[in-house]
Amino acid sequence: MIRHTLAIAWKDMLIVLKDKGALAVYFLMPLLFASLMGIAFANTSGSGETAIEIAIIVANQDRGTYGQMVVDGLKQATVLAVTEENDPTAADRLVAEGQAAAALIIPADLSDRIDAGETAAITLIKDPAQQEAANIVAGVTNQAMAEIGMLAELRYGVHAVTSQSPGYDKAPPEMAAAAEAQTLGVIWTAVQQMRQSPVIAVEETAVANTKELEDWNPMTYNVPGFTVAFAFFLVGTMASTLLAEKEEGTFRRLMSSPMPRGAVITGKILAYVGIVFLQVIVMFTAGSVFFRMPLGEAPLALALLTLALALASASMGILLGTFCHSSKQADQLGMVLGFVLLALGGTIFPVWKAPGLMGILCRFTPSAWAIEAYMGMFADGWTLARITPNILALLGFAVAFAAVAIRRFRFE
Amino acid sequence: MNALHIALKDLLLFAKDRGQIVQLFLVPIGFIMAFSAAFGASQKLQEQVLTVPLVNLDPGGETSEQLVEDLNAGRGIRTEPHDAATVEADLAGGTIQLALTIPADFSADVKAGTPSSLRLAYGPAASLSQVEAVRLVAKGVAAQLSLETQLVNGLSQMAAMTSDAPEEYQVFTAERIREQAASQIERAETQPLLALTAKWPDQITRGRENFEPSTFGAAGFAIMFAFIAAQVTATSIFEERKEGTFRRLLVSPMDRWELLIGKMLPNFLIAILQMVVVVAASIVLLPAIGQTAPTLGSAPLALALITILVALCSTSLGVLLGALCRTEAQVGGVSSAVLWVAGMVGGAFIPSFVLGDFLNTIGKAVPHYWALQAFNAVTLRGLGMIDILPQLGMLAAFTAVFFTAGLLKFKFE
Repeated sequence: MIRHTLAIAWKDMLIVLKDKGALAVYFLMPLLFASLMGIAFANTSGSGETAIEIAIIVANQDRGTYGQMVVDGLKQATVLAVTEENDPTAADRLVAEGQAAAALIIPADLSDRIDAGETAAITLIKDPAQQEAANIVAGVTNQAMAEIGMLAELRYGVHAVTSQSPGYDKAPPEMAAAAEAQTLGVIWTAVQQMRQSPVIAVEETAVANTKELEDWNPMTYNVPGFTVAFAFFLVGTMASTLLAEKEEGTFRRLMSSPMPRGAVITGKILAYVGIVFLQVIVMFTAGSVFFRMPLGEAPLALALLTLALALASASMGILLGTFCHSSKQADQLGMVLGFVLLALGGTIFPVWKAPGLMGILCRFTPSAWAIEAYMGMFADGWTLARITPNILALLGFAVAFAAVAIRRFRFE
Repeated sequence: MNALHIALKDLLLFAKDRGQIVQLFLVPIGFIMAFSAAFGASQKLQEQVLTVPLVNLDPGGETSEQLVEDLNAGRGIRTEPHDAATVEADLAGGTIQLALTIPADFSADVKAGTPSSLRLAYGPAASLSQVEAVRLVAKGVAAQLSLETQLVNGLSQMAAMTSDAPEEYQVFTAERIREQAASQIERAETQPLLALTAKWPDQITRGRENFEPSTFGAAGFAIMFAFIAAQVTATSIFEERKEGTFRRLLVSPMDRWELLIGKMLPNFLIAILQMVVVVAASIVLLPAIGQTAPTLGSAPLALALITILVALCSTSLGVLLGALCRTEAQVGGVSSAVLWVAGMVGGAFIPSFVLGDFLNTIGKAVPHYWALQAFNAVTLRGLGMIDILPQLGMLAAFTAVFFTAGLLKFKFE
């Protein structure tokens, strides 16, 4: 039985591994996808080596100090390529035409209003076709404005207090302004020093037997995400090769040969379990070598999880094969299934963490359990005990798929 | 006429192939729906509030109460009182993942300007993302509170420095400073002196009441799948070659160009139909899962021309693939990989700018980028035919290059 099973498994593995197209889909595509998503995340989170540059227009109509301070603050942000424009209507047009992701209109009365203690607003015009870029611009602008806002509050506060002093009204305006500026200078210097040594700090400590947390590497999510997604794209291939054997008559030959029926199915499952293991090894090695992705500290847990994932994928393949009438249909339905699992299983977004129906729905996909466990091991050092529910869930899927498949399977 | 016969034959074969119909129509729709549902769920995820066990060893303290209030002020976390006696054991045992502790005499220390530390402890069950989220909020609130306290203290010191002066010249009295600071801090929480307001360009919203663009890019997926349809032409040519029917067509009394046009026409029509069906389905189905439906703009002719050019470009690409691919693997798997990655760098899947300068430049070398630019210009920016001529020109150029290269490489045998 074992010899027959291994022979069938070896034959099926060779069929897949000699198919260059299949190799491209199952090994090259997940690697490219994970890399591109990783680069995108690193760039937008500011941790990437390749800086992104977003074109923005600034129309500063304010003749006071605050408007210029905002412009200077924006120019210091490496993520922004600032172009100044005098006419707000022209700035609006440039954004509308997509020549800039956003425009900032600084009103003419900005400094006057702030000096008078009245709230003033800068308008951000966003290109609806570049919303993600415009949102980054909003974040950077808010950061620049926070500093200026504080200075504005202080200046106003100093003015409000000083103006109550006796004789203030009679003092020459230049002298009053100079006194206020001097006071503000002293306070602002003090504020900068206070920031260096805040009176309230946050101390982070790990309790006993807890590993120190390292910086999050986005690849600990992207690589497992796409590895698991493409492990389930194998479902269609498995079902398709099974039905192709039936169509070509080789399945009957196997049935009439002196080998147990169970060996044929077990051999096929074993072949795809082997291919999933290969996928995992290739992807995780590439992730570790090229993107310094940590692989956790529980190799046994990693192996068991991969085995459970492979069994779930292979048994789903056999199940799909029992529902399809032709190899082509299996191939195409397998692709539909693969895409649905990619989107709902949490490959792009960790949907299993989401509240509500989507979070629950996601738990009904084997992908979510697998991705969560891999991510937990790589990013948070989860152990075998911690991922046991995930392994059991995957095995549960495998048993359920296999049970239905066995009932439906026709050995003919 | 012969070209039409071949096209009709291929269209009939396509119509009888349910699997192809599923792949070309249901896969894109299913993918867009599933992806947008996941996208919506991920947005909710960002709004999720994280419960943080809090051990307050300075109960009733003015600053500690203020800190707790600030931590719970819509910053994505909600503190929950936790027993100081059990916190270490609960962290170690995994009952709780992390805990924030306010030290004893916290308020008094802060008021006196003595440094004090909040303790963020985590146990083996903690995840990096949770610790990171709480750390950011706690540090932000602590920094703000530190500054406010230190500022008032600093100004009060100025009051002390002028205390020897005659009373009428004592401007910075401690009481006056506290009053001023308190009023400004309170007002700044809801109405900061300097604020940012966002809007869409007037040029776009003028005449478009309630303009609200979708944050989910269904158009990108529609374009990506339209280019994946290039495989239909390539597969059709490959299968005819494999089965020998291509030779039969070659020896029949028809010109070669008729044969080629006949092979291209079905892909062209299918690609157009696919885009129409996918966009229409997105408009109808996306609101059902809480997403904003894609807008179509006000230039139907421009939209039609983009659709026709994308279909033509995809078909020409199919001819090139059919000419270049020698094996089933190349027609299926390899070209799939190439088309998906081209879609990704072209901005159909994620915005191309996030890939950085290098990949962004490469993205401009695929037709997906120009198709998406044209589509967005018409649907989101409300532009018309004249405005998108450069993008249409690029799509036409890609079509010409693909077709010419395909024709030069094509072997009529």
